[in-house]
Amino acid sequence: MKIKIAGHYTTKIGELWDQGLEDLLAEAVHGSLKNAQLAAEQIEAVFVASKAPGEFNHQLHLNALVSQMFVHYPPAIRVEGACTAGGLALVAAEQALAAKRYKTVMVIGAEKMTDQNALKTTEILSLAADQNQEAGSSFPGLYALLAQAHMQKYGTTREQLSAVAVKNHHQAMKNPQAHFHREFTLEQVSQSSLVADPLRLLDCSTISDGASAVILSTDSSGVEKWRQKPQILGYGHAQDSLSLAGRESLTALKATQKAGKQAYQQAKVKPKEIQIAEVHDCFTIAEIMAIEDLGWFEKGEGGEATLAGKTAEDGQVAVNLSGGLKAFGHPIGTTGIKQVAFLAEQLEQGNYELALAHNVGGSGATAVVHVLAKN
Amino acid sequence: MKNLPAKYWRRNQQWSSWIGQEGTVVTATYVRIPAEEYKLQAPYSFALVDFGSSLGKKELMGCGHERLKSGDKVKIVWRRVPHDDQKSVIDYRLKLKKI
Repeated sequence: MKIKIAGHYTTKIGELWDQGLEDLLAEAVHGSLKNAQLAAEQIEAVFVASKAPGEFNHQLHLNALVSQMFVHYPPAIRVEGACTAGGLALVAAEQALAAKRYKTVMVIGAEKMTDQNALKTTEILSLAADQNQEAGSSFPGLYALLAQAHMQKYGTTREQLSAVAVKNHHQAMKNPQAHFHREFTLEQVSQSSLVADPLRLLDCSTISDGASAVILSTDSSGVEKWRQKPQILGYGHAQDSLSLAGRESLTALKATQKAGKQAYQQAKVKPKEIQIAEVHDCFTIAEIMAIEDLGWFEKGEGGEATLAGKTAEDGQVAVNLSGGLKAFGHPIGTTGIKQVAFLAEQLEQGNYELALAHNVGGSGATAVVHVLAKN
Repeated sequence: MKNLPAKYWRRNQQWSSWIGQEGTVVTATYVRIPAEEYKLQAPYSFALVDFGSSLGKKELMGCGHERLKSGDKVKIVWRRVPHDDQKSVIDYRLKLKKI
């Protein structure tokens, strides 16, 4: 069964004072319908991703909020899985399509984060950690533990972490939707203020507002119309211990490794065939671990590869050409969907044949990987 | 996360068995920008500690502003988390202290 990405749309990502959660959702609904050249009534179901609309916006029952944006009130389900909410909503939609319950569905993610102050936002984000086993942690704190372990075991350096941020901010300059259009030097990243040692402010992804939607379809009547549209070749979804204390390793994310393996097997492609990827760089160390765990570089070589430019646009694999979570932005529930939307656009433009999207929840307890192909 | 009385009671059921246990820091960070709940203690250490094969690993905050690093020998103590909230349960937790 071929799942086509019939349409996609991502709002501007940023600190969008003039747009509320419902405004962002409505923009993504209408934008993706227009991109797919579909009428609203042709959407049979909607899968909505958002991490914490209750805490951020005092708005729950988000599935109904989105459904009422359509004239026919299609069935809608909200999926929550911390930063993997978007990836999990895609998986839920793909499973519904595979079960032949629907032929054409919308997957939409939104998060409106900037109405809260930074400390409150940090507290909301930390709710994705194990509240019994990791009390006192913060998300930068948990990834800082992973960074310390990676640096200790493999000798990953401060400069290599900074190289991730420098690359992603540079690449975001070409992405009009990106939150940040500002370049940084290695020194600026390495000298930014400490958040949780060794992670500094410019190692961290953004607190952003934004929404993104993709329309997935198995409808053969759309074959001609969507001939040039990309397709989903395979996906994987895996879990690991929520708390770091329960992990076998602190230098690899097992959920990413397992989800990647599943996606590669279903797509029948090898890791080295991937030409462009959006990986979950919530922190610079997360990108280094991801490019190792997804099979592009040996364990311990991700930092060196990044510093050597092997993950830049003209490198071995173009990683986070959008700017990634680091500079494109990380409106939590939106992220997994905007990764796929961005890659779909790249594949449509004809520059690449095979792409990969990697979305992680929390400190690595949940991972979703998609392999996409040009039509 | 606020300490609702029932939740606090449920969480502390096993704590007495941990007090005084000694272990080795596997990896540690120094949290400078915390969640709002911990703002009065910041900066503080947060570490993953190995307490041996029978107890396993545990993640805990350090005491006060003490800096912990990989390889440090630590023990679990009972300390207060400072809050400016005068209405909730007084928040005592298991924390790590360098030996």
